[in-house]
Amino acid sequence: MSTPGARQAPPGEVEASAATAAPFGARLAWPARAATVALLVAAPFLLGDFRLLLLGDILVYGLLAASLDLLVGYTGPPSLGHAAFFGVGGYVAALVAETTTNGPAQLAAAVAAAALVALGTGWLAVRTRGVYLLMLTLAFAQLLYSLALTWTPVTGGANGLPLPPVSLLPGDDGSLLAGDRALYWYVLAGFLLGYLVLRLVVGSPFGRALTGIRENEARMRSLGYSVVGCKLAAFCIAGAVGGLAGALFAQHQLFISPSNISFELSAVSLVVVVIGGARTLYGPVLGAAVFVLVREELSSALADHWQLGLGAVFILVVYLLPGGIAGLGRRFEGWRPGTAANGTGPVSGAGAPGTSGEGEGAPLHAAGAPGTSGEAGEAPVLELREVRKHYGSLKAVARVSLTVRAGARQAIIGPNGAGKSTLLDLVSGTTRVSGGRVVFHGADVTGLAEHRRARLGIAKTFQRSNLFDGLSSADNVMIAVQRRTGVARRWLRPAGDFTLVAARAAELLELTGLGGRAEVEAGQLSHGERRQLEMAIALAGEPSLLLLDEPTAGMSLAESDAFVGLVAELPATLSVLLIEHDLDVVFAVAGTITVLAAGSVIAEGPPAEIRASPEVQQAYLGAHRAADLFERA
Amino acid sequence: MLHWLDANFVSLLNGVAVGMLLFTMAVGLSLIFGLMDVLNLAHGAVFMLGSYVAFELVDDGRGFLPAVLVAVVLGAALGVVMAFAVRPLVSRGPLDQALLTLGLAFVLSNLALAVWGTDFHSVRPPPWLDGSVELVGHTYPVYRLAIIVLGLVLAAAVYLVVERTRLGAVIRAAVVDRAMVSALGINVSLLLVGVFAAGVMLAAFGGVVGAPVLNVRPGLDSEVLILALLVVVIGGLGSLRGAFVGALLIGQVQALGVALLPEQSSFLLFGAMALILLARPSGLFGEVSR
Repeated sequence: MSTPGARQAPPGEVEASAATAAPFGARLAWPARAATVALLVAAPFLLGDFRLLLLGDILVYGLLAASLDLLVGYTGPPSLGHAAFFGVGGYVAALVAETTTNGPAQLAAAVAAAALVALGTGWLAVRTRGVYLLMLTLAFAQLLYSLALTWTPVTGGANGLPLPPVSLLPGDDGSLLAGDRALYWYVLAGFLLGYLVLRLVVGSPFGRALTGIRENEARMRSLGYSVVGCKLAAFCIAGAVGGLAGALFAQHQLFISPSNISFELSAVSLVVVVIGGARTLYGPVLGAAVFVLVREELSSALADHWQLGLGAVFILVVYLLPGGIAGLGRRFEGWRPGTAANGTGPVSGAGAPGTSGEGEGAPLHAAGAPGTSGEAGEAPVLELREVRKHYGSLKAVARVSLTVRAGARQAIIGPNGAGKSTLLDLVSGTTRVSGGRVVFHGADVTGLAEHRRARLGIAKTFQRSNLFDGLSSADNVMIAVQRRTGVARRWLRPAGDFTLVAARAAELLELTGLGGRAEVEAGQLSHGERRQLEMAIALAGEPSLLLLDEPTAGMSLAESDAFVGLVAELPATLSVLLIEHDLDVVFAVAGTITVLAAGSVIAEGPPAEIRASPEVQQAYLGAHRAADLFERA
Repeated sequence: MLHWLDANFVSLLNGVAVGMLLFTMAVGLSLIFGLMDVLNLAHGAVFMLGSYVAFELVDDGRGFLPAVLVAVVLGAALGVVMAFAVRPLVSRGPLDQALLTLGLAFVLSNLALAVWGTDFHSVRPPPWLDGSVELVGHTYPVYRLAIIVLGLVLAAAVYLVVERTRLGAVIRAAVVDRAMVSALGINVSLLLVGVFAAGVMLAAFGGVVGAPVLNVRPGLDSEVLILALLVVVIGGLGSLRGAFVGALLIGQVQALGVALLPEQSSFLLFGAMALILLARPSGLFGEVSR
C-alpha cells in the first residue's frame, strides 16, 4: 500500500505511516472491494432486466449520496440543496445531447457545469455557518428548481427534457451502448470513476484537512489553513460528482425533469446518507439501495405512500443506528474509526508527563537557566505599536507597545482581566485590533487574517485546549505538519504516501512526551497530555514566534516541570511569548517579563527587576501580600 | 409613488396577511431553535395538518372555532411529542435532531397524503368574516383584514409575554445560557417542552387561520416551511423582532413578486435572502456569534 511513497521514506518510517493512515476512510479490505466490483460488473448476468434497471438507479443515487457525504460526513457543513448539482448535471447533459450523442462528452460538460454552479453557490455559502449555510444551499437549489420549471424554451418547463440514447465513441452510431446491459456497464463505469475520486479525496492530505475543519474550524485557521478555501474546494468536488450522478441519471433514464432538482430529492439524499451511514462513502451507497428498494417494494403495496415507510425507516435509523447501516457492520466487529484496537492501551496516570525533559522528578526550574538571549541587540520579531482593543467603552487593551526579539523568552503576567489573552489574540489575528499596528519581522500584518499570519510563522497554543478531539494524536499533529510542508493541497494521493509527514509528526510527539500515545483519540487524553499535544501542534508549524496562553494551567507539578524542560529545549532561534499565572514557571522560563494591568503595560524588564518593583507588587498582587508570594519563587 | 401604492394596494395588503401567517410559523421555529438548537423541520407539516383540520371541520364557514380548538390541541400534543422525541438525541448535536424532525415531517406529510389524497381543497372563512369591505377605494376581503389584525395581536402578545413577564425573562435567560438557568433552580426541561408545545401549537393555529386563503393541498408543508425558514434566517434565528420583520419582508416580496413578476417571484425571494445574508451573515437581528 505504501510502496509508491517508499522511495521518499527514511528507512523504518514506512510502517508508522501505514498505521497512521488507517483511520482515514473506513476502508473495506481489498478482497472485499474487489469482490464488490466483480459482483457489480457481473450483475447483468445475475439479474433480470428490471432488477438491472433498479441497480442502475441505485448506482446513480448512490453516487449522489456519496458526493453529499463528502460534505456531511467529512467536511461538516451539510447541504440542504444537493439536488441542485444533480439537476444541473442532468439538464446540461440533456442540452449537450442536442448537439452530440457522445456520452462522455455530455458527462464532461455536465461535470464542468455542476462544478461551476458549486463554485458560485459555495462562494457565498461557505462564508456562513450552521443553519444559515443550510438555508443558502436550499435557497440556491430552489432558485435552480424554479429556473428549470419556468425557463420553458430551454428546460422544457414542467415536462422536462428527453435525451436520445448515448453513444460511446465519436464514430459510433449508438450500437456500442445499445441494450440494457451495455448501458448498465456504462453507468457502472461512471459510478466507479466518481466514487474513486471521492475515495481518493477522502484519503488524501486534503481529506485530512477537511476532517480537521469538521472537528475544529477555529484551530485550522490558527494553523494557517484557509478554512473558506478548503470548504469551497470540497463544495466544488462534491458538486462536480453530484453533477456526474445527475448526468448519468439522465442518460440512464433518457429523461430529466424538475423533480430531479427538487427540494424533495435534496431531502431524500440527506436521508439516504444518514440511513447508510455518514463518513464512510460506501454507507450512502447502501442507503441509496435501501431507498430504491423501499420505493419499489412499497410503491406496489402502498401505492403513493411508500415515503411513509421510508420516513419510518429513517426515524428508526436516526434513533437506533447513529452510524447508519455501515455503522451496524462496524459495531459487530467492535471497531470504530479513530478508536483503533489499541485505543484501550495503557492510560498514563496523572503526573506521568512522558519522557521529555532532562530527567523525571529533577527540579527543572533550577536547571533551566532563563534564556539570556533575546535582549537588546537581536532583531525584533514582533513589535506591537500602540495596539488597542475596545469592546464598546471597555478598553480590554489600551495602547500597548511591546517588542519581542529573536530568541526571546518573554512572559506577560498580570491579574485576571488585565487583557493578556486579548493581547495574544491580537497578535495571532484571532481578534482584530481597534487601533495600532502589529509588525512581524518588520512587515505590517495588522490587516492580515489569522491563517495568513500563521503561515508567516506565528503559532499559538490555547488557554483551553483546542484540539481535533475526534482524531488521533498523530492525526492532530499531521494536520499541522502537512500544512507546513505544503502537501495539504494534495487531494488525490493517499495521505499515507507522504511518509515524511508521519515521520515528522512522530518526532514531535516524541519531543512533547506523547510518543506512546500517537494512536489515542485526542478527546481521550488526560488534561496534561492535551496541553502537550497543543505544544506539538504549535511546533509543527515550525514557527518563528510561539504564543503560549497559560500553557501550564491545570497541569500537575510534574507536568509543569516537564513543560519547563521542554521550553528550555526549544531551538534558540524561536521566540516565545507566554502568558502564565504560575510565577514559578515564569521565573524559570522567562528572560523578560512584561506586566500588564487594566489593559496597559505597567512594567517590563528582567525577572529580578520585576520582582523588586513595588509598582508591580501593588498592581499585581496587592502590596501587603506581595512579599510573601514572591518569596515562594 | 402614491399612484404605485394605489395600484398595488391589494397586493401590499395581501403581503401583510401572508407575512402574518408566516409569523405564526416563524415564532415557533425561532424560539425552539433559540432555546434548544433544534431546527424543527416538521413545522411545515404541522401547519399543513392545521389546514386539513380546518378542511374537515369547517363546513360552509361553520365550525371554524371548533377547528381552531382542535388544531390548537393537536398542535400542542404534537409539540410535546416532538420535544420528547428529540430529547434522546440532544447529546448527538443539532444535525441529528434536525434530521429526526425531517423524518417526522416525512411521516406526517405522507400520513396526510394517505388520508386526504392529492386533491386541492378550499375552505370558506367563517360567515361573520365573509364578504369584503371598501378600503380607500379598493374592495378587500374582510377575512384577510382579520388575519392581519390577528397577526398583530399575536405579535403583541408574544412580545408582552417574552419581554414583560417573569416567564418571558426565564425564556430569554435560557436562550443565552440554559445551564445557568437550570442552576438557578428552574425546571428547564419543563420549560423546553412548554416552549416546543407552544411553538408547534402556533404553527397548527396558523394552518387553520391560513386555510381559507390558501389551497389546502399536499406540498403545502414544504412550501410554508421554506418560506418560514427564509423568514427566520433573514430575521436572525432566535430573535422575535427578526421573525416579525422578516415575516413582513418575505410576505411583501412574495405577494408583490407574484403580482408584478410572477415568473421571477422565487428568484426575488431567494435573491433577497442572499443579499441580506451577504451583508449580515447572521440575519438582520441575529447574534453575530451564531
